Amino acid sequence: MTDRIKRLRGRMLDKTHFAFRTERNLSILSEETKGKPFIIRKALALKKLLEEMPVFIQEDELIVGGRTLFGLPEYTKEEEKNQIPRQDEVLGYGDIFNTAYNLCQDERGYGEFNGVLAGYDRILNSGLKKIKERASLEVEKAKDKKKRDFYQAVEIVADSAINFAFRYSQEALRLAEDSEDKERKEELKKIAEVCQKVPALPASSFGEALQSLFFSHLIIWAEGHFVVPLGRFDQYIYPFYKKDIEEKALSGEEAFELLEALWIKLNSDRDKTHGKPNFEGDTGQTLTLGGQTADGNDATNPLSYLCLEATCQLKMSEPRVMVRFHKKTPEEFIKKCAELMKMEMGFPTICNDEVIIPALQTAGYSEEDAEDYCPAGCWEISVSGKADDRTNSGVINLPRCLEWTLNNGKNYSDAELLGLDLGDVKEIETFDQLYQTFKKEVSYYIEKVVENCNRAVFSPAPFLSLMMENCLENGRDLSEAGSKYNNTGLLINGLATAADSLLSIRKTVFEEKRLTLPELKTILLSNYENREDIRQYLLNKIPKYGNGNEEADSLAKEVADYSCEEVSKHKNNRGGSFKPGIFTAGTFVFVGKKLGASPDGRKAGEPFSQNASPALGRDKNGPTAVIHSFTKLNLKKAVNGAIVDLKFHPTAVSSAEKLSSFLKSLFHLGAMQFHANVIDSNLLREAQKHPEQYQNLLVRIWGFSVYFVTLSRDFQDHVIGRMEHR
Amino acid sequence: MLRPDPSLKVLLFDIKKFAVHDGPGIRTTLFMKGCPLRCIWCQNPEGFNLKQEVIPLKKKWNGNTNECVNFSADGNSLIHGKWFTIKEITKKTTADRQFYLDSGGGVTLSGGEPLMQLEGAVSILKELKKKRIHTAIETSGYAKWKDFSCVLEYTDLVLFDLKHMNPNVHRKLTGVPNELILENLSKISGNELILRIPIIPGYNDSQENIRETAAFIKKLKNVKQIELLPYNPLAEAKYNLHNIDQYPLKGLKPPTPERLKEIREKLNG
Repeated sequence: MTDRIKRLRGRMLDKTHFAFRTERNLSILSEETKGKPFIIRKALALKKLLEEMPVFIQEDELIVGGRTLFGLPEYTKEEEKNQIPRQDEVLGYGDIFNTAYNLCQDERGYGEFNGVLAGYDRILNSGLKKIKERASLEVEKAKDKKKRDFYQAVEIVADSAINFAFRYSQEALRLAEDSEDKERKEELKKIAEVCQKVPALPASSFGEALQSLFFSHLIIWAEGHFVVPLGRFDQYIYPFYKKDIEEKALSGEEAFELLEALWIKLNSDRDKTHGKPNFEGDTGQTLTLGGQTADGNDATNPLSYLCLEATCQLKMSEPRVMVRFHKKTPEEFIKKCAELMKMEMGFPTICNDEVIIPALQTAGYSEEDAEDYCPAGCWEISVSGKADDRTNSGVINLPRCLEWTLNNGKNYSDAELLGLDLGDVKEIETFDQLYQTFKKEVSYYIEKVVENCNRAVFSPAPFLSLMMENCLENGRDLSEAGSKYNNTGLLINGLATAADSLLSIRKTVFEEKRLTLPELKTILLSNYENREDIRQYLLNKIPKYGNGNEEADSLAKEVADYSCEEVSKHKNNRGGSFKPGIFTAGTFVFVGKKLGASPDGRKAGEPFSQNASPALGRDKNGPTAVIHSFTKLNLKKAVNGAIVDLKFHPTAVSSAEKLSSFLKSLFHLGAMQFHANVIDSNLLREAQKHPEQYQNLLVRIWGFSVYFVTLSRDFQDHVIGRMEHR
Repeated sequence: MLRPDPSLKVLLFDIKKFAVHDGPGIRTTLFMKGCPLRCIWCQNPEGFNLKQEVIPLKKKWNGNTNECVNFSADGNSLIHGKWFTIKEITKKTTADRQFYLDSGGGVTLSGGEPLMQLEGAVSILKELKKKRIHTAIETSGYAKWKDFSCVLEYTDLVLFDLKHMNPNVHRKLTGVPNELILENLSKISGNELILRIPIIPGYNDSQENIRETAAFIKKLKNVKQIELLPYNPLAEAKYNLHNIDQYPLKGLKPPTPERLKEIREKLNG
């Protein structure tokens, strides 16, 4: 790490750039604009925001830019606002996340294009000027008004982005004039040149590519999207790196410094994520490394390793590193991933090409696109520059379905009928009868979520659209299902808790006849009050998913199969399908709080099982058994992704070789996606006591790593519990 | 020659999967119950006796039970030790085969002293070798050579504990003399050997003992590695838990890293 990088990193951690942030109440609505089409007003809003956004360049910076003004100017008319099906309660990770769509709505009630993998390569390789020229031509030609509006909007936002960069160029020149340091003067002049050129023109060097990427990235945020993944960075950036190194235009050290400068910049707006309460760090700035090329060869290159190295050195929460493993992934790459994993930051997440690519093909993605997949946001699987897959559109809460099964379609805590009333538990005589009822509740739940997703209204996104295949070609915005793929992803939640609970019922009620179903229900309603004996029995004597136990695992598999199939059979209103995933984001804590006691021994309000992992503390046979259970599931059905969390004490993975061989085994056994937290719980306890000394301690909580001390106490305790249960 | 018998049972007090400290790669370690030695620093006192033991709980138990440790029917005691057939053990250990393959790992028999359940140990090892799984034993070496060699036949790696060179001191510290142990150690020829030397400050770390240990090691072939096992004071809590009244090393501090380094250099020198 160079001294410059040390200083930049320090400044970022000290948040010196916050000083440039400002607030303004803006609107683009006037007598003149009110008559303009909606998409044009949206484009004008972005234009206005970028014009008003103060520019700044700090000392030592090589990559410049940053958001200083947040929230789009008002662009919707009163009557339009009333047309949006408002669900204020689902802003962000609210209590009823189960019925949210696409993670959450923006402040106006529109769905957000979260987790859309932008085709950055379009801007890097063509430049916005050319894209704008193309749009202008189409404006002339277009007979369809909607198309013409779209292309006009593209012209506006492309121009706005070019002008925004130009203001940075001016600022750099101004600073260069004032600068007395000769070297810095030259650097600033160079920055001015770069910002004048990109993103207007194609990037022709590594530095220009990174700068162009960063501008495009931050303008996507400015347009109102929150979870903004970076895609296969080592693939689309590599040609620029390679050229500069081969032509000796850059030394290896200089290139690495630029890369690290970008990494630091990506930490700028960690606090400005979606929703209320906003979860600091849920930026979705995921970048994917490795994997295979279109012809099935290994895709790793020197840049892949530099990215891992930058993350190892900087120890910052952004960007989040994902890697793809396939048959030909080199040993060295796996080992480097193990080394990063040992750094105790919660990186990287590993994706298995051999599971994911066939799954995507089955779900209708072309072979070429499937091979080019990457995770969007947390783990959700999609493809870059081609898909509006809305990967986080809604949650299927399986433990809740079981609650409805036992309680006539109602929550334990509520008199309202939310599910199906299929009769009283007194009437249920066999496990199969109960299981059929449960399945009906699951199907009903899925139908409701599907209806809800299909009601969602999305505001146009001309800037994001201009990077997407088919949108520009066909003159259709993303919000009009303009991209090549238009699927909707749902999250199946609480698999282990539901499956373990069902097994508890099967064994205690129907096989051992230790309890009747109404007795069990009474116990659950009272939250195991005075029945700790039963709770202990359920916790300790009933097999649980995650231990390689045949009985528990096959039930989990059955439940997962059914839920995935039920999700997959639905079509959305944009010509796409619903895609199931088995993961939870933060719902296992947030929604867990609202859920009654479950028959697996979980008390009311406690978190339910996270992702496709065993319920907290129920896996007692170590990580290999967790993997055996996980890989028994039909993971290929979970085409939106399925991930298992592993937790290690640092001493358990003392050598990178052993950890790296473990990763290989997970891959060979067909685990779809996995990540590990390697950390000592004692350290976390210390951090709770002395937060001031542990400001930079990172832990992974779901799809991302956060600074431990910024977490609320219940999340901190959950993370510690996860570490300690062995 | 012993005949492996798949209906034979072995008594274990723990099965540790994803074991990364008991030999190469990722392993499963089987802790076999019963040991002829009584080392005063022993960290696994629950492995002393070759029988199931019911240990009354002094207070409410909040820890985990495992496959080999279960609550008694009334919930007031823990039952240590569980009998498994060779078939069950083979199934359990081969489940992680992929992990062994990718890591160069396998299965380690530990204890207690695995040679105490000789037939069981041989049967397990033989089954594993049939499946081409790497095998290791962790042993005190205190057994008749005839028995020991039966085990060695199906063992790839021996983790051999070397505790003290002086027979009288050895007897004081472990309850048995060391002649047989040293003789067995010298005879091992067809197996890889890792020596494990516990360092118990004030008991076996005198200059003289280290010197003699080093001299003895020099004469051995096959030694792949020498591992020092610094005294671990956490054992004390276990003695309390198991109602073993007197913990002989109360208050003893582990050796300093400097001292360990010094000893390591002498032994490797």
